[in-house]
Amino acid sequence: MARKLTMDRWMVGVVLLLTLFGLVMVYSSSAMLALSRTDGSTHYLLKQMLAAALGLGLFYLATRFDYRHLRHQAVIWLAMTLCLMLLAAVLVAGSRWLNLGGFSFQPSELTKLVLLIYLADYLVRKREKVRDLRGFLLPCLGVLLAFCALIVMTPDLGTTVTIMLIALCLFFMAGVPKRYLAAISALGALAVLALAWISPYRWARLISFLDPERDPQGASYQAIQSLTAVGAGGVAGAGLGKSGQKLFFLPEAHTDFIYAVIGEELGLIGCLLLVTAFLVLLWRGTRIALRAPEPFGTYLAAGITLSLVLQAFINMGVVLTLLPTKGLTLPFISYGGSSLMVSLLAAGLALNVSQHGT
Amino acid sequence: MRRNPVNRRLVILVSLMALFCTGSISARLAWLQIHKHDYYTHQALNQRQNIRTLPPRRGDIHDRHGNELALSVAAEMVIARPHLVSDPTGTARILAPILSRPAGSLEETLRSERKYVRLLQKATPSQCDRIRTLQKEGGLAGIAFESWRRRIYPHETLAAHALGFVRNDGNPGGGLESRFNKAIHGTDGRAVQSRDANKDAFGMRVLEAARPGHDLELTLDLTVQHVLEEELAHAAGLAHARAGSAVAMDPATGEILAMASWPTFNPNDYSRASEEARRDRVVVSAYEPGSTFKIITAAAALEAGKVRPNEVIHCNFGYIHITGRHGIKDHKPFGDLTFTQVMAKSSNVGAIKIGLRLDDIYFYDTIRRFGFGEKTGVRLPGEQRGLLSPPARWSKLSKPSISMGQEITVTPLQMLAAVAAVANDGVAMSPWLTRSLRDGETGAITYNQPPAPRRVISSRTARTLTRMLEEVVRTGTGRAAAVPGYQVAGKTGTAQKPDPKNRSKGYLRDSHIASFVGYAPSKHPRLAAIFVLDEPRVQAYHGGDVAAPAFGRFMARVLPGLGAAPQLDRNDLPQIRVNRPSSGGARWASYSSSSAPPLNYGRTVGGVMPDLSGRSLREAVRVLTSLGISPALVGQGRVLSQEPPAGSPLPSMEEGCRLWLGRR
Repeated sequence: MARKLTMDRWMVGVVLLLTLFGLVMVYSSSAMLALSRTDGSTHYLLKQMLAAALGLGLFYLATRFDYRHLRHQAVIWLAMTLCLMLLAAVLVAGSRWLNLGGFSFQPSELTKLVLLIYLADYLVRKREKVRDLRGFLLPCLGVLLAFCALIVMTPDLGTTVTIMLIALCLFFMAGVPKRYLAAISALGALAVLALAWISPYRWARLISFLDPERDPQGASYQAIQSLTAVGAGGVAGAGLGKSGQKLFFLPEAHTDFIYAVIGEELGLIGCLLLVTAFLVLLWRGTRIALRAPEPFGTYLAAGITLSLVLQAFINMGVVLTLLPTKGLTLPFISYGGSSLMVSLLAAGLALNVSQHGT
Repeated sequence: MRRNPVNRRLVILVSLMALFCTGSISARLAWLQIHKHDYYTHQALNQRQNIRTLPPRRGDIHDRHGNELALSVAAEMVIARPHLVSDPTGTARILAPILSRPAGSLEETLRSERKYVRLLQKATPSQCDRIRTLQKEGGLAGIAFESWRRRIYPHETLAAHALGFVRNDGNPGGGLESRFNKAIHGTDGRAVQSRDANKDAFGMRVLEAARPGHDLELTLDLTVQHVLEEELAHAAGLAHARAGSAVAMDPATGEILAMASWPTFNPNDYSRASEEARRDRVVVSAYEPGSTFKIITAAAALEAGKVRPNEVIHCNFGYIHITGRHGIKDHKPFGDLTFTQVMAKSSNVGAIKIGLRLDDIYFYDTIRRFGFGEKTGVRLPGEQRGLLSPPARWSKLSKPSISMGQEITVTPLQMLAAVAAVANDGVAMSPWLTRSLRDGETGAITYNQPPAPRRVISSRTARTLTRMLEEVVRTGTGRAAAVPGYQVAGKTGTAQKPDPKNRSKGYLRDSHIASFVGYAPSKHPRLAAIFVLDEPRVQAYHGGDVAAPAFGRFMARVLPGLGAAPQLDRNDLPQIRVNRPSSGGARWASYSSSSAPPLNYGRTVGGVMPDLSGRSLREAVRVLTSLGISPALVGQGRVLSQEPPAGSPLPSMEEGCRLWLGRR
């Protein structure tokens, strides 16, 4: 059964294109910021290129072994990630970033991937007990909640919500009864509200999402500037590099709000092309999952695909103010080494699965 | 493979997600980028672009010799962008001593919500340098500089009322700056200025370049102006007057060489000047002239042949009955006077009797011909025309009143212009102040059309009247206006001020306007001038006591410099009393038109002879006359030596001084 197949070329193509496009947009949106903070315009571009090179290395390595070995290592990886998270949460309390000799790393990105591998393995191992609340769901939720708690402490609610959404998707695939899923969703929503309630900045984001006219210079500033950028782009866009909103009007233009710059420079056409690229990713990823040689591969490929695409859509939703501000990157595109490297690594793993057919 | 339930559920999930997410994102994109595109484009441009006006270079104002009276210089202001200030407390503490502001209020400003605050509009270069040095060391974030053009008046209060001033925002506030603003200001340019969110300007597209303003050249003479102001201030101070004004003009051309109002102000610091200090009394303060107006009455009567200078006029015992219960009192019973004596002693009764000989319409027309009742057209803002009713509205009292300068109001400039017409052989030249405009871009000069001459009275009448006015200064009320070496013609005036509460013929007992108007040298007048003092509060408040001496000192100081050579009659000297300017009174503005450096003897006054060796005769005489000394001259050319020598005490009037001249 272990036939070695060629990699999914569509997937490779779309991942490379997205990465390359990401570099272009990072340069376009960060050049002015770099000029204002450093001597040249390429500061952020060079860092992102380095991350892309490392990420492509990981991407390649991730396709060079039999992904099924991951099943046995899942718990070890989980333990290592736990250590990293504890370091981040306890040692560098209140920071999403772990500083590793000049390079900062965001452990929550990696945690997302490792939890996915763990979950895929868990679902396969306990596939007979999916309807058993105590034997299946609660232990798994316990692990998830423990990690989520650590991530929330860093503090990164966006990633936590994404992880829980992916977990719900995988539970749904595995056939967990719908009443449990509904209960988890309800409890999760309550938890998010509670977390927002105790943190003033999250509450302000939530309020400004519900009522953007309330404080246009304060809490709603970013949302209004984002909409202004996208709207000013029109159908064809202002042209690559010609965004006006990136001139410090739009905060986080090169990271979480890079989609707004794309909207302004490349217009409706560029925005829809990018959505299409992620749809291609979704299509090919699902195809890989459906053709995986065994259930672990299915869960792994599906989980990876869903997390990448879901995060992309959530990010776009935030930029278009369909969702409240989260602090999530646009995979492959946004500036940020951790995000890019982990995304490439994850894509590599999905491609690994594609090499093994039934 | 889809029969597998896991796979089936995956397909459902993915399809739902693709549909839902793609659908909502696409719909939102279309809404924003198609339907709301125009709105957001407008929003985006609005916040990063604005139309900016480019201020042009404002033209300079020069005097007749090219001395700068007003000019614009590049200046810098210190501004703050409070939202970029990282450490308001520290920044305030460092800046407070540099900007000389209390640190507390500065910190409050730096903590404010505003995005842009002007900290110091008129920052000196040294202040800017100190802040820049601190910024190079990496401090004072959020503090920046902006350049602007500041208007400066290098001679400070000099000619302040004529010039006016320019506010910090670039708008003029009065004077020629206002009247000629269109020409001096130039044309604003327009540009689209792009800004980023930190309000840092990064790009500018000029739509229309600014055109520089015209330079304005005035008829004013810096030196004459300086002396006139000094003498006016001196006289106003001595007389404890409420206010005063003075003008000097060339009767032959109508050019105003100097004009001043007191109290004055410094246009560099206009915001501290009171409304009173900014009043250009020369053109906006109309007053009842009193006896100086008798010149006009006399001119009309002489021109009409109704009187001769030596005709004896019975001036009664100081009272003339007009009508009913109304009569007019003279200041003393004069008995019989010749008409010349009527003028010299300024008899009201005499003037009224002459006035009553005139036909109403003729008298009125002559007054109008002299320019009363209408603006002189000097092109200064706010000029008054004065009050003069037509004969149809005159009462029985009107003609007698007007004959002695009541029931009519005039501005000092109108009065001077009228007397200057007498000086100019009966030909009136309307006073003017602006000689030329020089285009700031092309350098092309447009000369102002000098006013057309108008004959007002015959040459004969003018000459007769001049001889009568000389008598006023020689023996009459205007003796204090005499100038050694020159024959002066003029007339004093002391008018009671009308009671503001009782407008129908009520006058205040002890509020006067004292004035003197005249010209010199009377044969070939080089200069006509008027001094008006409002409410002198001294025992001797008459025009002859307070205004005439100022006129005399002024003429003595400026006539030599204007090329009017003194005709020294040594026998006359001891009889003429010239009040020497009090200490500190004789200060000169820098005199750029002379080749030698200006004589700065202002500090040596207090009784020391200046060093005159090497000076031209003209300069030396000017200096000495201003000190009240008449020199005796030996030889021709430049000063070789002097007696008394430089540094020794000033000689008295009787001793005089001697200059040996020669060419070397």
